[in-house]
Amino acid sequence: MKLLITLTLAFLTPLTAIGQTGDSIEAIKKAGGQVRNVRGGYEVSFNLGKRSLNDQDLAYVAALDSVVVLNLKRTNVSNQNLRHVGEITSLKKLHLELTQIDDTGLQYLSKLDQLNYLNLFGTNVTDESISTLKQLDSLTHLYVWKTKITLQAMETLRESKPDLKIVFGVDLSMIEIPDPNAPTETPKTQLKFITNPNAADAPRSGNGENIEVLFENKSRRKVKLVWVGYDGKLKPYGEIEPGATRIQNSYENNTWLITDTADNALGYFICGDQRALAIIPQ
Amino acid sequence: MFKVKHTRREILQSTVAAAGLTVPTVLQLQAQATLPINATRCIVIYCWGGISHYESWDPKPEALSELRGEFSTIQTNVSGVRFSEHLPLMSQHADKMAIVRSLFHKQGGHQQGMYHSITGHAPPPGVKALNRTNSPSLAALVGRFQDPNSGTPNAIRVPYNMYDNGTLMAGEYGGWLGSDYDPILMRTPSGKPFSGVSRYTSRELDLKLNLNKDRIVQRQILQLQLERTIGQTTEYDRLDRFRQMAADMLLGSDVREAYDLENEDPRIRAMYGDHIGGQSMLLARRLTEAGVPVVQVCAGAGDLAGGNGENWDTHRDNFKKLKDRLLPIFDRSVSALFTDLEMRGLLEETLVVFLTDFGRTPKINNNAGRDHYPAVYSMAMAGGGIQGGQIYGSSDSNGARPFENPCTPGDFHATALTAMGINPHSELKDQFDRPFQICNGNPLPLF
Repeated sequence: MKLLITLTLAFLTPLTAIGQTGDSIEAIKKAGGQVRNVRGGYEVSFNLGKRSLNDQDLAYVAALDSVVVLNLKRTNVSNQNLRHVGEITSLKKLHLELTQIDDTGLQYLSKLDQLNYLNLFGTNVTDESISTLKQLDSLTHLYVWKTKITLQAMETLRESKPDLKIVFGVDLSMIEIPDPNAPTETPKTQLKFITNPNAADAPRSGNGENIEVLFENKSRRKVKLVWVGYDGKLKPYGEIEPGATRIQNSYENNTWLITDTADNALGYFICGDQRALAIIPQ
Repeated sequence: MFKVKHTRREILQSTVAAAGLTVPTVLQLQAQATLPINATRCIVIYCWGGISHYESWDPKPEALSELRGEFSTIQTNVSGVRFSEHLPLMSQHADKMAIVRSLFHKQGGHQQGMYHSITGHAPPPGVKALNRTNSPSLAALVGRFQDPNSGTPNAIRVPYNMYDNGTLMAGEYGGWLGSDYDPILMRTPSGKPFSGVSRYTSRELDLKLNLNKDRIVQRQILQLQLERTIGQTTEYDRLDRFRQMAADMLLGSDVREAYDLENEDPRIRAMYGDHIGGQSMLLARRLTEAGVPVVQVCAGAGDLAGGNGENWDTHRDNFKKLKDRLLPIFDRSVSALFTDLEMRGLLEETLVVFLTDFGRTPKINNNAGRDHYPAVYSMAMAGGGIQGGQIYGSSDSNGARPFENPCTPGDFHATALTAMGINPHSELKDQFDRPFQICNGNPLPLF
């Protein structure tokens, strides 16, 4: 009987352990997370779809053996929740970008001595966190764009960790936003619309400078744009809706034939040596 | 054919083999030493028409004047590496890029060159678009290996289908993987268009998403509607409305939100430039960030239209076209993508792959252009565990033949697949249960 109990216990122990892992994975999935096997352990990700997280969800992650990647991007993870993350000493890569965490949360992570990637982009961390960051011995990649960490503070970190890659990002205030209402430059010259009922009369295209033609369909119907080739063959270039414009790359002396949708010729344009407007009249 | 009998790769392989390790094992060990996982996202940037290697990543300032062209070169942020002078922004990202300067194949036509480059396999004779015996594109293949329950499309293409003079091109589809793996075409919602011809819509719209079971009914209804529409009308805008409806119905909210560029910080949008070339790169970042595993961007007008328009097929006025329009848009949009991915911490997990049909002839033709040239050309990769700041292989002094480490589109694909954690020599079965090896090349040591 004793033997039986011992044997049962001996079998139960590993089973319970497997059961716990399975339970944790199930619980993580239930909370909207994904668990993948990756080299060296698990990748746990909550990043898609702005999941709502609670303390228990992260306790399940901490209970899993060898989680190497944890992605909490764009979640509502709190500073307090990070206590559990600080227990996952196997962690190599941690995504905290676009969360509300700040220095109080980050200090729970100081024991993650295998962590080599830490993404803090868009968080509230400040220069106060530099001392925590200095304790992360394995850190090779650090992302701090849109945080409150200053360049000066980063310099002190760089001095103590010369091999650390720190990505500070661009200063967005330096980027100019173009005015959406600024008028686009209308070409100064206008091509003549040569009306001719017979498409065969449109001359073959000749060669010349590379220019641009701005077609504007002022007629009330949809028209087809056709290029008359150097050999006289017609090549369709699509349609222009009534009222629509089209910027078309072309060459000097090229002939552009306009037809209706039933391929009846309405007229043609011959390009000059500069950028020009070509109006398809009513 | 080539001057160098033993490539560095062969020597490396033999040395490594002697030490009892194969190359993939070595790569794995290296990868383990750094970050624990492979790239999980991929952005494929396709330069449709064939970007000139001379005027981009393999300039030849020492070549004879009739070959070297009118551009000078610019020092990059990697010592000893120079780009064309018209890539000033990208030159500051050379430390992120692995440039391969010794690619070659034997396909002189756009369709054939593009097919070889985008699928990694030589084209079958008489290759036709949407034939289910074609090889899948890199994007389709990478999408095939993703989690089918992730709730996002496997692969998306923006903003155009590739056409040559009105003929839809083969190569950028799912091929023998089946229609479920055809990357979905999405129109970039804003940006000034490339001049020339871009056919936004086609009658072969791909709306086959990977769906959960409960959505299958909706999908069937949608397919019926689509088939009817296609059968009855050629009105493109009506088809567009159906596509929009389909997108609304089928795409998860993350993807839909990512698609709306109005949600982006206007300063970030401005960083990419207000051209569709830039906005498409931004869309690629947003879609991959929202969970789409792979996005392919056509970086130029969609229809080559005999070299007429803003595409890379620069038979005429190569220099003017590149200097005034193509290179500035490319330079700005790619640099913005690199900056943006990096500062969000996404470059580590996002593999950026540049592909093109072929290079351009070293000799400048009578129209100040360069013609098709598959004998040597350059492509590049960045992010996703690729070691930046390196040049792999070289072309000879005239940019006419590979000089060191010649390699094929298949090798380039094998490298990209390896970066994505996919064994390039895996076998997959087509719809008729026939096994195919997904790639016949070997990974280049770019990690």
